[in-house]
Amino acid sequence: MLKWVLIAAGGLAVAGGAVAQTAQSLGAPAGNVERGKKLYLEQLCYTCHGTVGQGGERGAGPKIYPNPFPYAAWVMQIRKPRQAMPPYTDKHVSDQDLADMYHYLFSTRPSPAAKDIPLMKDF
Amino acid sequence: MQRTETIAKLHRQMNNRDKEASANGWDASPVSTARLSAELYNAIKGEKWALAVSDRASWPRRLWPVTEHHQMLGGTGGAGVGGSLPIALGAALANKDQGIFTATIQPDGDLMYAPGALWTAAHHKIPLLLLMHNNRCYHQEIMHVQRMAGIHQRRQDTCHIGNVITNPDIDFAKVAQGLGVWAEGPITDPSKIGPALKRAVAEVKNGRPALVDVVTQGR
Repeated sequence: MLKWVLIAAGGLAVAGGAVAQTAQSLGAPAGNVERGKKLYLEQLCYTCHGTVGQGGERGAGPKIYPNPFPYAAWVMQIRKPRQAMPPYTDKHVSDQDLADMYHYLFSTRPSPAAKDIPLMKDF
Repeated sequence: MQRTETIAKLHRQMNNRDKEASANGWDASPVSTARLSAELYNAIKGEKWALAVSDRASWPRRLWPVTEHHQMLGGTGGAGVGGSLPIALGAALANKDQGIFTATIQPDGDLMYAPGALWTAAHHKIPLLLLMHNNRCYHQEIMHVQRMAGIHQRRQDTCHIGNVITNPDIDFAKVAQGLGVWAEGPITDPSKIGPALKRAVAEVKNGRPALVDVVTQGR
């Protein structure tokens, strides 16, 4: 099911042309960035995905920003996750909480590309 | 020949993916482990270097050019906590006579098992560069407790209890200085790591241990 949501979202993105992504453009309802950051840290999302969604290493979670899942897929992965991620049900995290956290990720500072980082020339 | 070319191409692709992955969160604070590892390599690349405990971050094994047998010395075995610091000391002592510059990525929880080893390093003048991977927690345990909480349909926001090393935050530079080791930190701005490491390398090249405390991402 998640696969088809992602494929459909990809199709919409291609049809819409190259447009900068926003939380709203990926289907998210309104959200509060400050509240989202607080929740993202409180709910320990950062332990696996990093404080800015960059992902972790050695058994931690994948990168979730930039290029995040479309919002519907984001919700699906959090509520009924694939693989080792623990589920966050609506008993503990509300739908609005998810929207706020999604908006928080879009507020984080973009990372440089590897080709633009001087230290990377050694690798 | 064809197989060689195919493998070389796959290796280059893997290397490019690793570099792109390491760029994520490059300027984040707490500091990303990728940034931590890259700054350390930049500081020691001109030396005949060894990374004493090479399994505490995956980035050195993924990106650093390893060409000599002494450069990556492995881990504690079974991810044992508390062994990294004394193992690094032993490696640095052995490497001293070989003219090998020994560095290590030192986790905070591991150091707190036997912090007196820093005094040993100072007393015996063991040249070792310790770059703290100070994520202020027993991070493996947090992730495990989170997974168990998920399996049992419990809340996630209490999984840090008993696993974080905060309140107060340990000042590892002061701990090290108190035990006779040159130290700087805590560093939370990634742009400050390079200059601190340059000063630390000079200290180690003078035959003494040095510690740079960097506050890092969990993983």
